[in-house]
Amino acid sequence: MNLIEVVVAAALFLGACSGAAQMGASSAQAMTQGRLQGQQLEQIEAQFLAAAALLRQVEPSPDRTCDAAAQQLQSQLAASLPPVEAGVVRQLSLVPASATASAPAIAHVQLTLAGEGGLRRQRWYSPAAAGLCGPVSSWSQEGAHAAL
Amino acid sequence: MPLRCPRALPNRRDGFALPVALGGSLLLLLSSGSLQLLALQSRARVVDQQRHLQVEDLLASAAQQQVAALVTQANCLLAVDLAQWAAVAPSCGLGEEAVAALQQGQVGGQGYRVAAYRPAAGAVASAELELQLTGERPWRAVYRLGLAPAAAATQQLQVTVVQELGLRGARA
Repeated sequence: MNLIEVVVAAALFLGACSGAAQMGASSAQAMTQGRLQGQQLEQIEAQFLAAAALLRQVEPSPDRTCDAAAQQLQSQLAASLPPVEAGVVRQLSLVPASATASAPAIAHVQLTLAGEGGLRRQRWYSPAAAGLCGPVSSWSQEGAHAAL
Repeated sequence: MPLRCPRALPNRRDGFALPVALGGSLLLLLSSGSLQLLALQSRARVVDQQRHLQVEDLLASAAQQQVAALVTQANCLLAVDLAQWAAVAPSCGLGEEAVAALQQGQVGGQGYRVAAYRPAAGAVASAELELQLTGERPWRAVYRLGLAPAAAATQQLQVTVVQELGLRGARA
């Protein structure tokens, strides 16, 4: 065993150690991020389940305008959804029928939840789909024709 | 007597360090590579789960929008199978364009269409709504709607609950 062999072997081993350490660190980071995202996904799912439970409990009242019902639904959701933990951002937006860019134009509430690493989920809740407002003909036939 | 050069004799310990270092390095790199692979697989699973949930969210939002459109703008069609919408619509004051518009929509920049609408037979207390995305991956989802009279004096219906029955995979 000569000095050159020892030096080459040591350099090789140290290089491999450094590479393995870097790969290990990045794996650990990826696993931690994956675990965090998994936890945040569960938390977001809990928010949607709570929103669905609220929609099942609300008292139907079909003789209201959908814009007013959407406003009430937004307040109810804001009051009854469980608090989100750090790292998750919740946004509740009210979109009246006149402001919606989608077709058909329906008043709704958008529940958006965002987490780490580009994690983002959004669901729309229409008060008419929970019996919170009724047929448009009972209060505005013109609106229906305009929307259709 | 011939002279023997001591350097010419093979030393048993020559070349020992290099193979050991090579073997050790290989082992280290292989094990850290396996860890990396595991982390990548875990990440891919999370991304896949996230994409699946986003499709579910899109279709659930579309279902809310579609149901709201039926309740508010074409209430008489809530008790009618999709195949008969065109025939029944004129009696509700809806034209062909209105019926065509009711069979499709857009939510979050993604188009969808109504693939099926089946009210329960007999007294209409529920219905099944099937929606399909119109993008590259035509995922479908089915929803069960709970129906009830909107008011005693009218024949209008209201939807009391929209229950998700799950995705049915991307097929044309």
